[in-house]
Amino acid sequence: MLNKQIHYSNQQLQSWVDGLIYKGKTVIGPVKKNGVTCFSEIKNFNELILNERTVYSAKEVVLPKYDILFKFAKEKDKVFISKNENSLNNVIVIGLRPCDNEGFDYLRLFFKSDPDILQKLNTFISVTIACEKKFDGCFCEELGIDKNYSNKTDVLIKTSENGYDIYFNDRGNEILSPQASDVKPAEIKKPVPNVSIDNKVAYLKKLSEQYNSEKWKIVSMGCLGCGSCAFVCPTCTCFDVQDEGNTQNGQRLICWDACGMGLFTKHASGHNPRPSQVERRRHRIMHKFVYTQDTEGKISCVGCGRCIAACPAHLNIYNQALQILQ
Amino acid sequence: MNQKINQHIAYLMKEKGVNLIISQAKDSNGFVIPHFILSENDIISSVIAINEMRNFFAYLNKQEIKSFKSIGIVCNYFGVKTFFQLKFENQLKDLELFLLIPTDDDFIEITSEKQAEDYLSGLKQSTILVDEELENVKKMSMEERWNYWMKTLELCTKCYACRAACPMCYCSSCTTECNIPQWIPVPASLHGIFEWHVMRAMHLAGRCTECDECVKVCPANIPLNILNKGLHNKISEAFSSDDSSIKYALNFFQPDEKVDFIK
Amino acid sequence: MEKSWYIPYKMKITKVINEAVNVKTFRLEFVNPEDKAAFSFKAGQFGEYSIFSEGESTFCIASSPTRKDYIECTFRTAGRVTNALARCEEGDILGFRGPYGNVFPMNNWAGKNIVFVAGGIGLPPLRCVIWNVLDLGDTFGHITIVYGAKSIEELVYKDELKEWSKNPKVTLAVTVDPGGENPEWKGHIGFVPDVIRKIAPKSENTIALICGPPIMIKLSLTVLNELGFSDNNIYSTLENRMKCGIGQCGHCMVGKKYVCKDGPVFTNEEIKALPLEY
Repeated sequence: MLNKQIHYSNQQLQSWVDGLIYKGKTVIGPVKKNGVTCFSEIKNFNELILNERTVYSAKEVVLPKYDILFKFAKEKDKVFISKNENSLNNVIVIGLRPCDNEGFDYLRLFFKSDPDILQKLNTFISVTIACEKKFDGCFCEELGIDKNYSNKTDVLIKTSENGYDIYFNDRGNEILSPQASDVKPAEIKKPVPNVSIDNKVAYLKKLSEQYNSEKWKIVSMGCLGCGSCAFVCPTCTCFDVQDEGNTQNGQRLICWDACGMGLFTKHASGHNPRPSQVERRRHRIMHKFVYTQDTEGKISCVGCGRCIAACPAHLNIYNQALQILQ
Repeated sequence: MNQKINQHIAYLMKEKGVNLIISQAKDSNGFVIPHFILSENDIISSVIAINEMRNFFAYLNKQEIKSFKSIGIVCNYFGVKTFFQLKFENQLKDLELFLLIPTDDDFIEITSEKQAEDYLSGLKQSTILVDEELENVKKMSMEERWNYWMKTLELCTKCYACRAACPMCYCSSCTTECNIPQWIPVPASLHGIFEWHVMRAMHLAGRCTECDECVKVCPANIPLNILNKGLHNKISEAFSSDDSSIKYALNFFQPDEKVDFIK
Repeated sequence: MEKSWYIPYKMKITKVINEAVNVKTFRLEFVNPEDKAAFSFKAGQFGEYSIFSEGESTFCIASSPTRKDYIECTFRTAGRVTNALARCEEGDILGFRGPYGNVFPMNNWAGKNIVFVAGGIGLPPLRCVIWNVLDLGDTFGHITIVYGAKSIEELVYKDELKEWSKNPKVTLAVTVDPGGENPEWKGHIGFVPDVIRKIAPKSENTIALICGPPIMIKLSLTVLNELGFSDNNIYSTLENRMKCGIGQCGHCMVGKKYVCKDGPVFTNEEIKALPLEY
């Protein structure tokens, strides 16, 4: 609940962030690396890129592209296993967008019974920036997400006259530690529940009636079977388990995997339950818009448009779903 | 595409039994995307500058696309080069292809290797690009080069978009998928990333058509073309006396080979 | 420290049986007694078996939960992990995570006859149930087992087949594909569906369990239906590629169902409602 608000000038925002870093907090935010905007730890405020959408979503803060589950060492007839501890204590993620928060909200539902990941999801403090404009291909509003507001964050930053209005909850209060005299009760327009969004979600569920539609062949024509859509997606969770090392020691890792790739479902026998991109593309679209409505109670697309930008053919997952339903 | 191409597409579909045209279009975000024409109703007019055009020959590696048999493909110089190279490698065997290359207000049609060769030799000089970035990298010391690659490769997630979009990556089973033994580590760790890209560059050496699709589709903005062009140059230096002819060093074995790697 | 989901039990291989070409059975015992004490499973469940430095592989637990000192698994060498497993010897330490997945609802089967239909490497998941049923004595009715393989060499659990054939509670029909026999062969010759039709087990008060190659399952189901078995009395276990075994990695999804979590045991009625992605 974002129940308080303060006002910061440009200068105050910068000193606040630099202050957090100075105090030893790990601050992660959108930066440019090799020309690519992505989330990474910053050492000062000026590294932040706050007017772009990141290419890769913020999920990598919690689910990095590969992560060590445990390390092992073998000695004669003994095996020693040590769990890899990594927590997000002391971590502040700044520069999230409302869609990123919706993504984390989905991840909390999906990983509700994995104590390690859930702990990470609930530990870091989130600082969100309201979107003033749409980015290329994003369609969050079509899915009922308010680009100007998020109640799933600890701090929400909105640009205002001469700086920023900053809304925050108790966790946000801890990292802002504002002067009591500067703090006002939050005056924020709560989004009105939009009935037509519920209708749209119900409409998307009708995709399951189109499972055998011939149109899947058309919408999958452009899909080349890479994993770019899944890897930039804030809600794609699929992973592979891999071992690295030699007969003496090594580690077991989880790393991102993608349902668009041919090997994803292929059995060791050679049999492949989803033999072509037609089935793979269908699975992706159905998973995002239908399956998770049943399994997690909500669709798992947040409309950030990252997959559209990353896809070699710039396939638009939402338009394709609508095309199937037409 | 321009009116003349579109008229010809309609003709190919009506009279020549072509049932798929892989054309190009711009989406509402300005991205150049493939536009699949399955019937005359799908024909649209669109304006894409010839140097903005992409190389969609990778689609011919998809079984679902191959099954159309008779296919038109709108492309530029790099498409023709790809066509020529794929023909040379005995791909495209069961396909009847119509390459349509837009010109100012007309188009060129290419259907055979011979036509492609003539087209390429007529244009070659003007299309060789000197890559500044490659020159920069070449000037670096070994240590600088290592740091350069570690920095640019760091963001790779191994989404394999480079492989998927590459028309020359047509192997039905890729080395990276081989796991007995596991040549290339699966995780996108620096080790896994580095080995993957070096392996791919090796397999493309002398075959890469320099269409830069791999760079265009890479979400991590990795300058893969530099690896490929660098290796291409190495191959030319080592195996070709005359840079203007098309040579594919790694596809041949000649009895008077400089290195006696086959004993 | 909370135990991560992915940290396996350490298991020692205490017995290796060469079942057939490229097929082995391992008997595994817990290295830590407290792990053993805390562990229990039910028929139908599976686990992730791993070799440290090679990775994990998914198979069913092929031994019966009534035999509490160990678990057994039977696997065919196919990929990186199974090839590495095949090189293991008695005394080696493996990793094991499990048990995962749902179970055969055996509590509902008391007093019923049971027909087992298996082909090739499809017998191990059913072997777990067969021994479970036999070990529980008179709880269940008559047992019929139809088991087929391409050739005599490819039959697994050869000694146990002999043991079952001598059991008065069991009707055992072992068959090999035509051409897979030798002059001494005394069993059936022919495909599993034909053998089921020949021995025609009664469907009244009877449950059927089936596991094997897809084509065998498809044709056998037709025969079982002809014999009067309804789809909700026929059980099968699905096998999809799996990585985590706990409904997280997404590999085994068949539509919105996770084979690892919602399965692997499904009735034929449930299977018919699934999209064809298995």
